[in-house]
Order: sequence, then C-alpha cells, then structure tokens
Amino acid sequence: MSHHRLSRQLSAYLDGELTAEDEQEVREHLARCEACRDELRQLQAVRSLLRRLPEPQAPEDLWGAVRSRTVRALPRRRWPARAVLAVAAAAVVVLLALPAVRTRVDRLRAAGVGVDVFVREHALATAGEPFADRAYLGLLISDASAALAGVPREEERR
Amino acid sequence: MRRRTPPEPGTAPDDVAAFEALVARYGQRIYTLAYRMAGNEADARDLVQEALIRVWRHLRTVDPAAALEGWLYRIVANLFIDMLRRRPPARVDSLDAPVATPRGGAVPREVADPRADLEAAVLDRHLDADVQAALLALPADVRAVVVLCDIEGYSYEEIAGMLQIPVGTVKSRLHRARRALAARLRHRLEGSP
Repeated sequence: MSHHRLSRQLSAYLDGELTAEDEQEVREHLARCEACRDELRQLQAVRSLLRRLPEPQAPEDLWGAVRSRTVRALPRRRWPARAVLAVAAAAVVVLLALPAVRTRVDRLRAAGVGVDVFVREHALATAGEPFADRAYLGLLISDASAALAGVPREEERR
Repeated sequence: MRRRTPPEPGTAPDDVAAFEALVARYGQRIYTLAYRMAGNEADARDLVQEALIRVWRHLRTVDPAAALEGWLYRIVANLFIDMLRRRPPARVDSLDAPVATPRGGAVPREVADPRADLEAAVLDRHLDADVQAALLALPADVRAVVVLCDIEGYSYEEIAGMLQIPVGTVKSRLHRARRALAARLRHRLEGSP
C-alpha cells in the first residue's frame, strides 16, 4: 500500500477494525513514517475528546410529551380522520337532498290551499249521511270556502 | 414507490408496555444522539419526538428475532439525517466563513475573539460547545457516523447496518469526520494524548 492509501486506514487501525493483514502493514508503515504517527496521534486525541463529552441530559418533560403523542394519543389520533369522513358524508347528503327538500317545502306551502279544498269536498260529501252534524259541517264548509276565497282565518288575524 | 401502511398499534397493553420499555431503555441514548446531531435542545427534542412517534407507528412491524437496537437506531439515525438535510441548522453560522454580500461577493467577518481576554478558565467550560460546533460543521451523514462510533460506541458493522451503507463507507466517513474535527479542534488537541 502507498503512504496515501495507508494514511486513510489510520482511523480503522485505531479502532481495531482492520484485517490482521492490513493491520500488520499499517504497523510496519507507522514505524517508518513520522507524518502518519503524527496523524494517528491527532485522530486518537479527537476520539478521546469525543468519548469524554458529557452526556446531555434529556429534559424531564420530554418523555411525557412523547407519551402524549404516542401511547396516550391513539383515540384522539384516530378521531379526526373519522370525524372528517362523517362531516364529508353529511355534506354530500345535504347537497344531494337539497333539491328534493325544496320541492317538498313548496308542496307543503301549496297544501295550505289543498287542505281547504279537501275539507270542503269531504264535508259536502258527508252532509248527505243520516247522522251527520249538518250545522257543524256547514260551518266547516263556509270556513274552508272563505279560506279558498282568500279571507284570513281567525287565528291568523290575531 | 410502493408504500405499505403497517397495522397501527392499538392501545393493547402489550404494545404500550413494549413501547414504554423501549423508551426507558433507549430514550436517553436517542436523546444524546439527537443532541449531538442537532446541536441544541429544541431541535433535539423535535428529533426525539418525531423518531419515537415513528417507532411507535412501526412497532408492529419489528421482527422480535431481529436486533431491536439496530432497528431502532436505523429509524432514528436515518430520520435525523433526513430532517437535518431538509432543515439545515440556521442557528449555526461559522465565524470563519465569509459573509456573502447581496452582490454575490464575500467579505471576511469581523468578530472579537472572546478567548483573547478570558483564556484558560473559560476553555474547559467551552470545550463542549467547541466540539459541538465542530460536529455541526460536518455534513449530516458524516456526522451521524462519527457520533454513532465515538460518542455512542457502536462498531463499524453495527453502524453500517443502522445507516444501511457499506462498511467501507462507514470507514471512510469516519476517517473524514475525525480529520475534519482534528483540523477544527487543533487548539484543543495540543497536549492531549
């Protein structure tokens, strides 16, 4: 190996990560090469500096924060996805139903008149029956007729 | 790209217990790795939280027969490298680097040297900060190798497994890292063994 290639093995030599063969070669080179011995000393100094670094203590509340986003977060974590889905489904239903609901409302409004027609026709048909209360039927008929003619009902007038 | 969503762990006591045990055993070491990778507490916290959330989500996929530690560090180290690449540490600004001017030129910084007055008494207290600054000057993937080896104490092979790179790459990155650190920390190394 050349000096250049050997010098690149120095870190691995220091860590005992070379094959026995390569290690022997580096050792022989080191005996002859002052520059490589120097470099090895520097690499060793860097390594021991790093090894001596104090361990930074994790902040106390970190693990609680981690738990609240993992083991304690599951029900809350799943909820939003489902809620979003439910809201989206509801929105679709409302949008689809809107035209149908509108027609129904219009029909109900029209039914205000329809009921009066029905009541009058029914009262007229019943008036012929033997035990019918003709006086009451007469009242119903005149009331329905008045409504159909556009006269407001008593309760609406109040 | 094929993405398979693993089954999420439930609130099953087994999953919770496994996760708690893992955090109790490796939490501090993961924090150390995060701190040395990020260089400050706020970013280290973010890294640890993101990493452990990812671990929790993938807890079900871990093969109990495989080395848990290797798996764990694979998630953590790769996440750190990714995150730090996407978000370069804005707080770290080399005082040696010239200041770029809007016209595209560069002028040298003028900074008072704090060491000029304080000397030896302060040196030790600033040792950690100096080493940390030197670490941060390394590219994230190179930094990961030297932190895993010299601070966390893993072998080349273990690191190769964690970062999923060849052992030869671990070797060359580590050598590169130590040489760069030696150059930056020259003033610290004089007189050391």
